Amino acid sequence: VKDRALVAPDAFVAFYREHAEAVLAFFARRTLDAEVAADLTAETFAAAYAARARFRDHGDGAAHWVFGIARNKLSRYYRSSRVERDARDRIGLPDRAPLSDDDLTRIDDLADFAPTGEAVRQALAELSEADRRVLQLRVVESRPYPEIASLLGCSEQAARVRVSRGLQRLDGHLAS
Amino acid sequence: MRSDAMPEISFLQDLESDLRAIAEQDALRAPRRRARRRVGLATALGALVTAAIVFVVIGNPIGGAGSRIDAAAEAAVAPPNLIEHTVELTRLVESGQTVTVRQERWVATDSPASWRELNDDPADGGPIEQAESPTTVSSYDATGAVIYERTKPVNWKGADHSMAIDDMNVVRRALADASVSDQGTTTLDGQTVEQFDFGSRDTNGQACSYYATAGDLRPVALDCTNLLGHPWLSSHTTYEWLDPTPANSALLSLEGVHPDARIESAPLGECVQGQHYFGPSDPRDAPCAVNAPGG
Repeated sequence: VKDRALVAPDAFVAFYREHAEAVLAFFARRTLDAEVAADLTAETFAAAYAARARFRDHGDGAAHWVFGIARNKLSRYYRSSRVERDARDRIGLPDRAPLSDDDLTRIDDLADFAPTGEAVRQALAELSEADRRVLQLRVVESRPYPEIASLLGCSEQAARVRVSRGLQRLDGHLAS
Repeated sequence: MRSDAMPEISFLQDLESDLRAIAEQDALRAPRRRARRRVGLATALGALVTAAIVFVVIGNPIGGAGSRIDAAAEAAVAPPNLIEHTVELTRLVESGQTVTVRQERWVATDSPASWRELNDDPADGGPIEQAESPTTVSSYDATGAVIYERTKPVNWKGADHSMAIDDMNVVRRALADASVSDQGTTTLDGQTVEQFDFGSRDTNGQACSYYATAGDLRPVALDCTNLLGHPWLSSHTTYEWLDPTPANSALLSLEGVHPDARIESAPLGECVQGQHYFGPSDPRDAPCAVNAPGG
């Protein structure tokens, strides 16, 4: 027998207002891309809207439910590198405008990257100069491998190996 | 978490406006569906009155209906030490399309707080799998093969409190207070069954038919139709009780059905927002990872 708690428009909007920022921050931290985070947020709430008649409070409230949907959306984004818009199409949600500069800043604030940034800074400090250099070129400056190889005076294959090893060491420092 | 203030991010404000407009539009469509149903309901009521007159004139063709309802009520009480397995198919209309959502659940009959549930909803982008035990609640991330498990506090709502919703309780209440009408023997998916119809306040205006086995009146299925015009049209739930073999008992937990999954544990209520555990890779969850049992 169905729970109709989220069926009324006001109830769904109240639910949205309660969780929208947390969901947006969840995506912003994991994608590091505000535009993608905004699309995933819209897709998640469109899916929640489409499924609202089946919402059941299992005791831990609607947050558990909506973050379950968000996790699935994020997994599919990781797999395909694109944000689906099935749910938005299904309920007729219009395309959104590009984010304003103010929104980009506020989403950064919302995501609060400070703890992550500090952890990365500490891990980078523990790497060798060579590792830091190669990660700077590839990860920070997004230079193509042929250019990195030319700058480092090595083959393209060797540049790939150095980047890979640098990332592995960075990951090791972050994990520890 | 926000409650009354408008979100400061204009994207979120725009999204809220769009969702509100869609919700209000959909709400306006519902009365039209209700109006169409009233015509059908009038016909059905006419048929019911006719049937009632025939019933009074020729007598109850079934005989001993009260005792059959009592027997069905008794048989609907789950025996201990079994596993109740239910599959619920819900039909909905969304944006003019009919969608079917499948929910499958396994519940220990002597421990309602031990269950696993698999929800396959096209709108969710993939199945959502959750479980509860007397000491934990957990969810499964199929992509990373990770079980996110949260330990309940010691004073958690009592050991027998279950977060699962058991529609059979509605059936049991209806049978117990005899607010059902005995429809006699019928056929459901090729099986001869006994049919009991009801529509009490418990069902929020839904009309339900409960089917029990012809012999011992054990639960077979529950069909409910939504008369109020909300987005879902009908649900069809089938029941079976499984013996507690090791293989069947494994169906009650995420660890049982995903033995190779990695388990990330955290205490319930000490994680972000007190609601959700994001996993140790999220810096906000550091206290959860530190406090994890055995970790």
